[in-house]
Amino acid sequence: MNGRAGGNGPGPRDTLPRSSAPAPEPAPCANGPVRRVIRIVNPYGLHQRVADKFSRTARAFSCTVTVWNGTAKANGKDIMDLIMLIVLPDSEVVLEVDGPDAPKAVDPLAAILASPGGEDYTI
Amino acid sequence: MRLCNFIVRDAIIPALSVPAPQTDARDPAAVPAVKEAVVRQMVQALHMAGHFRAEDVDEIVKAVLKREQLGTTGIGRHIAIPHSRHPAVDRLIGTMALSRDGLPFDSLDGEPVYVFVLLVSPQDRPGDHLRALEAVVRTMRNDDFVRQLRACQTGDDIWALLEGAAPGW
Repeated sequence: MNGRAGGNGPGPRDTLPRSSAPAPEPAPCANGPVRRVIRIVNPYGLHQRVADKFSRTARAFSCTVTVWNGTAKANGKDIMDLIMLIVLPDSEVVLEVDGPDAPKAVDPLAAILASPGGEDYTI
Repeated sequence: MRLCNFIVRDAIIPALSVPAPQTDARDPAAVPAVKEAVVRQMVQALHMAGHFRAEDVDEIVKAVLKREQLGTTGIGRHIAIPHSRHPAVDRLIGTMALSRDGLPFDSLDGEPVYVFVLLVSPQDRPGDHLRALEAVVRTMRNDDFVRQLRACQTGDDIWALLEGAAPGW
């Protein structure tokens, strides 16, 4: 994940997220990256369980998966990167997927981020 | 946020008394008993350090274990962050424990866990909880820090390391 300076949406792509996960290098999507703006309605934000589910799902696709919180970004396939993004409840993130299967990946990944949780909020 | 902002110094456990399975430190069959023993020792340590009532201990242990059932908090790199929200605390607190042998914890990477950070947070402070998780992950991604941490022999050694750690750790 990169710095946390203010700003909106994806910044320049000249820096890569610090991640221990192997960096996939899929062929770029013919139409460029697919992006979605998503509001986090889960009352606990992008917490560990959501990050776990999201990163597991992301790893099933060959496309790169990036989640932006302002100008900070995370490798969506790396749970630690996602936790370091500190996505608070009621904030907006940008989901960016890039690669041959990006159109197939974007809906299930967006659904995880947009989910209200449906979970036991007492734990 | 830094680890020393929420780790309770007197609750640090430099060597858990939970034995590793004799056969295999990755043995999945050993995970439930190990999780209960680790969580109980850590919650008990927080209680002994003056946090929450004795009658809350069992309930907090159950809550943390219930959270584990929803998905492991063994996030890889030999680290686990068991946690729960509970009304017994009015601010986020945590403790740290080391295992000398490594324990099976159903980690995402299948590896045994040597460093545990247990968090208990109030129901209504999601931001503090997220910032604490970030602080743990950011710190534990530093291999030098983890190496120094695992070499610590006492709670005071661990505390000195946490206090001396640069904010970037």
